[in-house]
Amino acid sequence: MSYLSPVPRTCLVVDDSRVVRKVATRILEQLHFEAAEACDGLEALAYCRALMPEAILLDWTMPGMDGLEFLKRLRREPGGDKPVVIFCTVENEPQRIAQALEHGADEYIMKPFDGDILESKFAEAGLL
Amino acid sequence: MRPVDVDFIRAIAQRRAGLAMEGDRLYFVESRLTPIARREGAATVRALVDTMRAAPEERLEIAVTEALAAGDSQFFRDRTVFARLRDWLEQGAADQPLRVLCVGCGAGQEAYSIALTADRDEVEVVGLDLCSDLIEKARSGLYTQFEVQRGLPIRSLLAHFEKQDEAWRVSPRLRQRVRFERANLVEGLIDVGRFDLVLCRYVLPALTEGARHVAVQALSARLAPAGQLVLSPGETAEIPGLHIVDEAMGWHAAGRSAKTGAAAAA
Repeated sequence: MSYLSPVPRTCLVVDDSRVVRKVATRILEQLHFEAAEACDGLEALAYCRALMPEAILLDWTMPGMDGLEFLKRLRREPGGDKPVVIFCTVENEPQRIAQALEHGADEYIMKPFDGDILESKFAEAGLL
Repeated sequence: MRPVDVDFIRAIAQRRAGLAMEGDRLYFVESRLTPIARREGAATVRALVDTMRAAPEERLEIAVTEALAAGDSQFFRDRTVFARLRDWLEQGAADQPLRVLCVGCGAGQEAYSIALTADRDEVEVVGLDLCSDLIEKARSGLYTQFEVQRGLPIRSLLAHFEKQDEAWRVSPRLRQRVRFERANLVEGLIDVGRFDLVLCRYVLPALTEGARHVAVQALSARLAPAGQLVLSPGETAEIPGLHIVDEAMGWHAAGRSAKTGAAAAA
């Protein structure tokens, strides 16, 4: 990397599917984010305690701690109000979406998603 | 499909809607016309073209032209333009009625985006497009999960759409402020009245120079006094009675610019 390049920003991808994490990581790198991965809420929380990422792409249903529980806890952590949190889940019922927003999600992606949708939502959340 | 078939189709689209269609568009034409060929029971697109050549039919020529003109669309395309539109729409008195014309509205995303930007009942939006299929979809206000995730903030989706099975429908309240009509820009616009704001984005570049001229005349004739005309980003046109406000946004306004006025006075 050239010293002129800006420091890449980090997006933590939290999803129990390895395939989804890989797909998301590839898209995020095209958007000039450095991607980190966690496979459930607990692992994600440990990551955030060590180093708060700028953005979090968050699945809902995961074994162990689910996405909503993670979000509630994250927002109570020191500095936990900072990361932009974008849900990325198959949950697409309006009540569920409203619940995620009430607990501090900034944007929301309904799976399946592609690069266009991810880019659109990141722009919407002020990340691009 | 042979190049001569493409030329035949190209000539129809140009005559009927002023579509320019330059360069090698064989694959594009073939893919757009395949559904029509299937519907008409033609074995291939080439067979469809043969039929049209042997026995010209207005119905088929219109169908073919519409299929070629159909544009892709998304909500709030060009974020900065919509931020500027919000400012403009909000600067007037809150109870002042405003009419907005959205030309080349496709499946309706842009027209609904305008209605969402000016979320009050006094703002009326009219969407026009050449393609009857797209107008029908726009009127239904029904979008796939993919479509509502391109450009639309999640809070707008929750507030203004209702989930229907796996799709999302624009709420009745929003839908009643937006109406859609089929219109052909180069045949002269249907009488839809005058407008304070006219958007015609990503339309003119697809037209021949002659058609573009006719279209611009038709659009400026629809402007109310002090009306605004917004073309594609970076697209400007020399239009009598209008001046350029912001070139990057393709934004024009009726009347002389302050600069031109001063020069004329001196």
